[in-house]
Amino acid sequence: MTPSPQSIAIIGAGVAGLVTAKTLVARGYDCTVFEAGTRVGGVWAAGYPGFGVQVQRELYEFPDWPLPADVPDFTPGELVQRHLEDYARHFAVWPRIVFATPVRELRADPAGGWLLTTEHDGERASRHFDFVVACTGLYSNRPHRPSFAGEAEFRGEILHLAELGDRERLRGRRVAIVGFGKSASDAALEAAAVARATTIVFRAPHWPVPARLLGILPFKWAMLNRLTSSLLPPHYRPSALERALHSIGKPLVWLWWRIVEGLLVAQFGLGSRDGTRPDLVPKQPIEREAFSEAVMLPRPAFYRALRSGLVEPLQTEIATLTPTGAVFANGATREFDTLLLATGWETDYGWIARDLRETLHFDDDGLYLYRQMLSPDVPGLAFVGYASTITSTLTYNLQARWLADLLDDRHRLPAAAAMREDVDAQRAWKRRTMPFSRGRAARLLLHMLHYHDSLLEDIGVTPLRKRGWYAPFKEVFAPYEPRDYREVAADRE
Amino acid sequence: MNDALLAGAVFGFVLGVLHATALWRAALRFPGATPATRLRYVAWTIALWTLFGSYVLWLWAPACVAYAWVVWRRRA
Ligand SMILES: Cc1cc2nc3c(=O)[nH]c(=O)nc-3n(C[C@H](O)[C@H](O)[C@H](O)COP(=O)(O)OP(=O)(O)OC[C@H]3O[C@@H](n4cnc5c(N)ncnc54)[C@H](O)[C@@H]3O)c2cc1C
Repeated sequence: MTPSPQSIAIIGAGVAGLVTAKTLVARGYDCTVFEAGTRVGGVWAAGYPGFGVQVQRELYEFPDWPLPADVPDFTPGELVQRHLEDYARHFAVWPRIVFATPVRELRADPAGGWLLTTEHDGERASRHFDFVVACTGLYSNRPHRPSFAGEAEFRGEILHLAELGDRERLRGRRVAIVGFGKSASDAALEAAAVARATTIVFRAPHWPVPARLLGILPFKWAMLNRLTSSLLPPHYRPSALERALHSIGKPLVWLWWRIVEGLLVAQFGLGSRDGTRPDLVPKQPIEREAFSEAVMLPRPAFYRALRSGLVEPLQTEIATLTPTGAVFANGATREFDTLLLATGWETDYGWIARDLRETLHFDDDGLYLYRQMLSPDVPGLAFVGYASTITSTLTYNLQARWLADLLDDRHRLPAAAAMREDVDAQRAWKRRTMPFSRGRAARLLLHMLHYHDSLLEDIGVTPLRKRGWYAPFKEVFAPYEPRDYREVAADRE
Repeated sequence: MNDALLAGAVFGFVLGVLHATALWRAALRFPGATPATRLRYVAWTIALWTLFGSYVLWLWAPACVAYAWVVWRRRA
C-alpha cells in the first residue's frame, strides 16, 4: 500500500467516484476525477425510458446527504442524477472533475506509482499519479449484445435498450424483448403501452421481489435485516450462530425459504393454475436465485401484464431469426418488427494495460478482490463500486471510508498471503452458493450486511448501528438503511 | 401444551445465554460500547430467545420431518 499518497486519480464520476472523491478530498488528498462523459452520475446520467431506482427512497441515498423530502419512492433516474450533481457541488468535488476525458490506459510507472493516459478532444496526454481508484462501474456504456443465427436475414430492427431513447419509436410495431431482468420488465411495460403486440422471451423466470410482501410489509423489513441475512446460504466467514443455524437448524432455514416462495407465488400469481396461464415459478430455490444476474423488483403492473396476455411470455430462446421474426428453441415461431435486447451492459476494463490485467487476474465471473477493493498483487490500485448491493450509495460510502482510513494508516492490511487466502475463500463461497454470471465476483446483494460489517470491523467501528432502548430488538428485525451509518460516512465515528 | 411451551422457553433461554455471551464478547472489541449498552443487549437477547424459543423448537421438529422427506425424495 502507499500510505498518504501525494496525488490520487479517481476514474469515473458516478456514485462511486463522487463518494470516493468527497471522502478523500475531505481528508486533504489531492484528487483528480477523470470522467469520460460530460455529466456526473454515471448510469443515472443516461437511461432508458421509465428507468429509476429499484428500492424505496430511503434505501438509495447517501448516509450523510439524504434525498430531499419531496422525492418519491423508487426515485426516477433524473432526480437521482440531479441529486448527485448537488452532492458534487456541495462537497467541493465538482472542481476536481475533468469531464469528457476518458482514461485510455493505466500502466505501472517504472519510477513507482502509475501512468495514466487520458484523451480529451482527440488529444492524448499522460500523467503520473501515486494512487489510482477505479470507479468505472459494473456496467459500462457498452451494451451486452448477444448475436443470433439468421441476424443478417432479419428485415426488422434490432435495438439494445440503451439505444431506444423514446418509447414512441415502438408505436404500432410488433416487439419482441429478450431478457427477464428489471430492465426487460420495464421495457415490456413501456412497449406494451404503445406497441401493437409485445412478447418477452426469456430462458428462465426469476423470483420477483415485491415492494411490499403480501401488499403489506415493505420488502426491506423482510430482506434487509440481520435475521434474513443469517438465513441466507452462509457467508464464508459465518458467525457461530449462523453455523449452528445452517447445521442443526437447517430444516428450519429450509422451511423459512419455502414459506417465502409460497407467499411470492401467491402474491404474483406465478403458478400455471393447471395450465390455464403461463407457469412463471422459477426452478431454482429463492435463497440461491436471489444472487442471480436478474434479481428484480418489478413494477406491480408487469406480472399483471403477463397474466392478462398484454405481454406474451415465451420461456425459450431464439434458435434463429427469420426475415420477419424468429423460430424459437421450443419450436414456436413469432413475427415481429423490432427485437429489443434487454440483455444488460458489459463491464469494461479495457483501459487497464494488458500485463496489469493479467496480474489482477480477471476470471470468467469477474475480478475477485480483497474486501471487493484491492488486489493483493497490485498495491496502489483500488476499486470502489465493484460490489453489487441493494444500497450502493451506502456500500460505496463505506468502501470510500475504509480506503481513506487505510491511506491515513488508521488501519492496516493483513499480509499479502492472508489477503490471497481470503480472496480464495470468497471465490469458493460465491461459486458454491451463487449461480454463474459475468459479474458474480462483485455480487453481494442480500449479503451486503455481512460485507458492511466486515468493513466497519476493519476500521474499528462497531457494526451494530441501531440506537436506543430497543436497539437489540431492531438489530434482529429492523432493516438496515443508509441513515444508520450517518456518523461513519460523515467521519464522526 | 404447558409442558411444551415450558420446554420451548427453557430451550430458548439456553440458546439466549449462549448468544448473549457471544454478543458481550464481540462488543468488547469496539470502543464506545458502554457496560450499560452491553447489558441491554444481553437482557434483550435472552428475553427474545426465551420468548420465541417455543416457536423455534416446535417449528424445527416438523421442519426436520419435511426436510428429511424432501431430501429422501430427491435421492430416490
Ligand atoms: C435502472 C437502474 C436501477 C438501479 N437501481 C439500483 C438500486 O435500487 N439500488 C442499487 O444499489 N443500485 C441500483 N442500480 C445500480 C447502479 O448502477 C449503482 O447504484 C450505481 O449508480 C453505480 O455507480 P458507479 O459509480 O459504480 O458506476 P456508474 O454509474 O456506471 O459510473 C461509472 C462512471 O465511470 C465513467 N467511466 C467509465 N469508464 C471510464 C474511463 N475509462 N475513463 C473515465 N471515465 C470512465 C462512466 O462514464 C461513468 O460516469 C441501478 C441501476 C440502474 C441502471
